[in-house]
Amino acid sequence: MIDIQNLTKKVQPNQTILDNISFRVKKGELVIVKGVSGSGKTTLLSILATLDKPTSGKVLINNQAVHKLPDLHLSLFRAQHIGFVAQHFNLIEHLSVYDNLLIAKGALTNSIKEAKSDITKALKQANILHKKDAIVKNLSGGEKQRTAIARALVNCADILLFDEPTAALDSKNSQTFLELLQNLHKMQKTIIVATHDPIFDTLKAKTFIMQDGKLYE
Amino acid sequence: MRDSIFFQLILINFFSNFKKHLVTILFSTLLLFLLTATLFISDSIQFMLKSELNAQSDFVAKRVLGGDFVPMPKSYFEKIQNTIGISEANCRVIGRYFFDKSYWALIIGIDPLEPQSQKILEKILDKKSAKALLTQKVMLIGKGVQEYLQKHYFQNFYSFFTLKGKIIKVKVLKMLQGFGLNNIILMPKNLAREILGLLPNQCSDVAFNVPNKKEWNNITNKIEGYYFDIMLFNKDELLKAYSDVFNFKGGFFLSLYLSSFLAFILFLYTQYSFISSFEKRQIAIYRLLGWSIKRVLWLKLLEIVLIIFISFTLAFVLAYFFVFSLNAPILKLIFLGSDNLKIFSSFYPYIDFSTLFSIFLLFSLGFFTATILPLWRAAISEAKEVL
Repeated sequence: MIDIQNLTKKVQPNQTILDNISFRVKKGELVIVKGVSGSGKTTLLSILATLDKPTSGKVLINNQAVHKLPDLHLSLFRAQHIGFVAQHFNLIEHLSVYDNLLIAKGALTNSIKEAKSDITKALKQANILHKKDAIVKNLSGGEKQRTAIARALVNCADILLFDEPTAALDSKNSQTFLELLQNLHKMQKTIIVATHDPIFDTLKAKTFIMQDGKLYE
Repeated sequence: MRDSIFFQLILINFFSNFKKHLVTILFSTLLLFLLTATLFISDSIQFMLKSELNAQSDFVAKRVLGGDFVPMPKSYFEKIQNTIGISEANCRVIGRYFFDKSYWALIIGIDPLEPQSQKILEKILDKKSAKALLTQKVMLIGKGVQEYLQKHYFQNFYSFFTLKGKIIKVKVLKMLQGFGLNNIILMPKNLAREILGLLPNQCSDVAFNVPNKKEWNNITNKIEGYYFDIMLFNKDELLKAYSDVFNFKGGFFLSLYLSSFLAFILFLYTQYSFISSFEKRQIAIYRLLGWSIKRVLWLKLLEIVLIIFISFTLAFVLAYFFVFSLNAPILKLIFLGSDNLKIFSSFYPYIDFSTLFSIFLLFSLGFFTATILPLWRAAISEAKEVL
């Protein structure tokens, strides 16, 4: 499902962030990418999320060479297949939970009627339906994260990417997140989590270690 | 539309950036208000002038002696009346009456027995009042005259001084309604003659029609050939004279508007070139969620359309209220300040929609030109910037 071949990312000729990485992730697999800060985890996730392009190498997702797609097709691909939950969630703070999900839904459809049922479903899956009309800035860290997860699920994305998901959470919320992650895994979603938190060691998942731009299994 | 996510998001974005938009809306509304109000005034005056001139005779013949207009003997009128090609000739008794150094009104003598006067009187008077015009010293006055009389404690009459120093008390019979009758006094012809100092066998001038416009030049030459001291004015010349006065003022405002518009475009460009980190982040989130550059650009452009629409609607409503309800204070003095336009007291609500549409188009075009580049730059913001 995800096939990365000889992926290299350089920001300057002498500064290599990702160094000739290759790996495969099957459909429905849960993958943990571990590594210290600055090891290149976020860059790898942003390339997988089609937000960044590699300097060289291939990125094949669902057999599509996404690194070659033009903006219009790439945006559509991202909206249909990728759900990205960033470390600081990237929600629009002054809008409601519902409006944040509406923006995500707006990338694929223009019908509010159609969007409403999908939004409700995603909010239920992320266990945040009760906060549907709340303004994001008034939510707790855990609630914000569940909102971001609901947003990632609203377009039925089959690939979910999490960047340091527990970095902004306390231990109780981190535990709740792990339960949610397992539920998503049961839903046959392909999940990649970039983290340095040892809490993920308890999970039964394929684990990679990232160090100085190289990936070790 | 209410069922459209795109439309909802335009509103959400609009209110998210409301403070920034509010400044733009205020500036553009003010600019558009000034322009629209000027346009309403000019359209209204043009309409009133054309209507007024359409109701007048094609030609007016005046006698000039010693470089000034002097009364015309009735024999002139008879000669003109009998010229082939001329119809509805009228020996007019008309002249300005100065109430004081700052106010004058136009006295027009009417004879209820003359067919031309009958046409006018039928519209404004009942038979009883028309009869009073034949037998009594009465007058019909415009709004401006009535205001003057009330201001000077004359309620139902005014005492006119004649040329010979005599005082004639004339009763007010009725108020004249209509946009071209502000400073007009209609009274029996003989009474008007007495006040204006004309003899029974004299006219102030002669008004007449020439139905065949191709004959206008011939008739002018013929009549000017009858008498060395006669001067002819046709309707087109009058319209041109009015238009010149008016175009001068309109042009002045247009040049003012153009310079303000250029300043406004510069303001818009700087306003939208500065994209706050908040806006950048917002756009990056849209891109992160799968919105293409084209779609983000559309969203931003429609936000601009909303601003233009709000500004234009506000400006239109305000200008309409200012001109046609409040009677355009300040601007009225500038536009109706001329003696030629004193016959109008208020603005008739007439709007030329094609000019209004041109303003909208010109304004929108300028607005888009100033904002498209900054918006495009905002739309291509990299989504990874928020990571």
